[in-house]
Amino acid sequence: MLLLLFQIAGDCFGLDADRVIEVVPLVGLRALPRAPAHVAGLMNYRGIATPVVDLAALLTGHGARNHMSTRIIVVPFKGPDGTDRPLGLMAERVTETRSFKQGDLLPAGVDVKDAPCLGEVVMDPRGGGMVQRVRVDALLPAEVRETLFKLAGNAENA
Amino acid sequence: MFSRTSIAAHLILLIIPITAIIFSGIFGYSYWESLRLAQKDIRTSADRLADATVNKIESKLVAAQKVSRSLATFAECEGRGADEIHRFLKATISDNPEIYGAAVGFETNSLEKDLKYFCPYYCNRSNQVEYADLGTDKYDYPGWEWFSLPRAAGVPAWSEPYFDEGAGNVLMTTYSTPFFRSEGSSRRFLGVATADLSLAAIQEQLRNIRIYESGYAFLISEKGRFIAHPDKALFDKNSIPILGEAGRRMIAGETGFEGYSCRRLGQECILSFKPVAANGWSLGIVFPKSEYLADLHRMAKNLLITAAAGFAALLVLLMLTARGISRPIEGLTTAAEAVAQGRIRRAEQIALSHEKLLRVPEGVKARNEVVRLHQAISGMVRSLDSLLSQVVNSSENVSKSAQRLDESGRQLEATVTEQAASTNQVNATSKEISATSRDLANTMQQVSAVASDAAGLAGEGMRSLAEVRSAMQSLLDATSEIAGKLSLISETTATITQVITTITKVANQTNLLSLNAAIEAEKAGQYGRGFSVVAQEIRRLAEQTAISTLDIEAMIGEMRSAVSDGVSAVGRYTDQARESSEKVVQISERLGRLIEQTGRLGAQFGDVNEGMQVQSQSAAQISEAMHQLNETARLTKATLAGFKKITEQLNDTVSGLQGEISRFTVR
Repeated sequence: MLLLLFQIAGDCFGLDADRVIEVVPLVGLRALPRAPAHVAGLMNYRGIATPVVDLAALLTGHGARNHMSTRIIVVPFKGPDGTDRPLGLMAERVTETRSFKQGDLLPAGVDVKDAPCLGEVVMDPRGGGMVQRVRVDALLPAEVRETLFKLAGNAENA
Repeated sequence: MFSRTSIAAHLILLIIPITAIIFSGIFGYSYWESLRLAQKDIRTSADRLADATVNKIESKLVAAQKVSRSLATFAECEGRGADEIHRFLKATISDNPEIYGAAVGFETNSLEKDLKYFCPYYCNRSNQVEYADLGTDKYDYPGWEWFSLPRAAGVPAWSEPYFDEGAGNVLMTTYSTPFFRSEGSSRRFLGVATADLSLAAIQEQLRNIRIYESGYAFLISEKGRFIAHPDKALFDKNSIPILGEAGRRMIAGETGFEGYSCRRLGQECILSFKPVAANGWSLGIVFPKSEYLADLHRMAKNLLITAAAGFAALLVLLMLTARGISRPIEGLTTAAEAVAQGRIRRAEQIALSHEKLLRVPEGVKARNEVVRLHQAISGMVRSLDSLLSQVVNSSENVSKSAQRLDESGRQLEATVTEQAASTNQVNATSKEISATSRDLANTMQQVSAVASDAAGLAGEGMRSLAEVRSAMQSLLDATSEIAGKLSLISETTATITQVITTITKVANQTNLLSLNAAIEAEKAGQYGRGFSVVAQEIRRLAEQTAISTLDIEAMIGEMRSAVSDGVSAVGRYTDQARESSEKVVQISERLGRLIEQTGRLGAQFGDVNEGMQVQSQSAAQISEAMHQLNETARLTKATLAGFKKITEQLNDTVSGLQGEISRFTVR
């Protein structure tokens, strides 16, 4: 299996590559006033108003830095109406993919209640660090999810 | 003290206490001495009285003893019959009237065998010899003390006073002499011969002793009982409770003279006592103290009264004397006070009024101190009067002269002051001129020297400046060239940066592309595996490109900042160099003009300088002359000030004198 790697506050995380639609550069985002801090804004992804969530802000409270390697990972996301919709995830150092065997994944041993998206860990064979798998489905809390797509829908309708 | 009291009071205060002290001393001494003498006298008279009284009593007692013994001697002879004894006894009584009675008592059955009692008794009663037979059963003479005591003792003895009822029927005392009959070596008691003394006679005798008013004599027996006492109730009473210690001494047969507090008289007394040798009685004589000291007290009283009268007389005398002295002195004091207040005429009047009072002799030197004082004060007042008149006249004249003197001095001083002021002004002005011209001359000299120096230095400066100018110009050219080259470098670097940015963007895009390619290949699964390898290669290439680009970018960044620093530094330097060059040109021009002018000035300075020095010297000479003039004026002024001070003093003195004199009223 292939993991798309990214970093949040210096720690390495991975997303299943087969769940990624596309990686796009950090384009200009439309700001959403009075939205939660981890909602970076709206972007135009192939003509669809797509909400972008700042993973760094969501998981650590500090927003992602504006580097050239800071990119938006577009993933499909089930909306409240049950249809797949694209969702942008902003993360730092989205520059690499890595292949792992299914057996390399180890349970984390710690289950953080407020962050249900954090999954198994895997040892990076190139460096001494660990890569933690992020589950896209559990990434957003239900109310956030609802809010997001309502916002996106409104924007689209408008 | 002297100034606060008058002469009279002073004399009295001085003399009276001293006199009183002397009198007290004399009086105290004489009183004490008199008291001593009176006590001595009373002792002597007490001794004498006691001796005389005791002698009288003893003569009676001795007479009784003699009678008793002669009777005993008669009775003890052998073969005396009753009649014989009767006769002898009767004759003895009638021959000795001072004896009250006598008896010869034989031991029972001693005279005759059948006769139990024999005791005839004869006594003198109212000038008659009376007989009483005591040899009766009723009287029973062997039981009486006068018989039993000598019989037991075997020696004669005086009985205690007693009242003999049946024999004498009076108060009496009896002297009993035992008589014996010799039988071989032993002797047998035969009987007792007695002689009685009536105590009434002795009591009478003592009662007749009069000592002053209430003094008295008394007699106590050998056993301490009163025999004779003015208080008859005390007869036969024990004397110890009344007499105390003195009584014991009397019983012991001592002679004495001591103080005694008499209860009967109720006062302090002297008790003189003396024993009666014959029978151990003791005579006491009591002298009341107040009575024997009465004369002394009277004398003292009279003396004190006389002294008081004397003191009163002395007081009056002293006051009169003091007044006699103080009155004229008071008058003179008033006159002197008038002089002190300046009322000379009043003093003269007072002196005249006292002249009559004191009867002052004309033209004669008196002996009386007060009169002499008066003469002196009168003379003094007259002299003072004439002196004051003269002083008034003189002081007026002096005052006028002093005023005139003062005015002249003032005028002179004003003139001198004005002169001094003018001189001072001239002097100051000339001094200023001198100083200014001297300063000017000095300055001119300095200026001249500086000007010639400056001319030399300016020449050198001109040459140096020309060199600096050319150097500056070449520097300016060089910097302009550097600036141009640097701006060229800066442009080139900007171009390089643009290229690098483009390369970086391409690398980034390549990386993104490879990522998406890898993701797509993963999605394609087995079919996409080859594509995945290609994507990986592309990504590696992109990474290398990115790393190289980053290195070049860093180098270019450093170069750019260095070049831009250099460009700005060179720009600033060029500006400064240009400014300096312009300034050098300006200075050079000004200096050239200055040097030319300085060269022209040099010669003119020499002429001015000489003229200035001549002027300075002249001004200094004027100043010196003025200074001398000023000094002279100052001396004159000082002299005048001294003169003024003296005239002021003179004026003050004269006005003081006039003030003093004005206090006196003269003709």
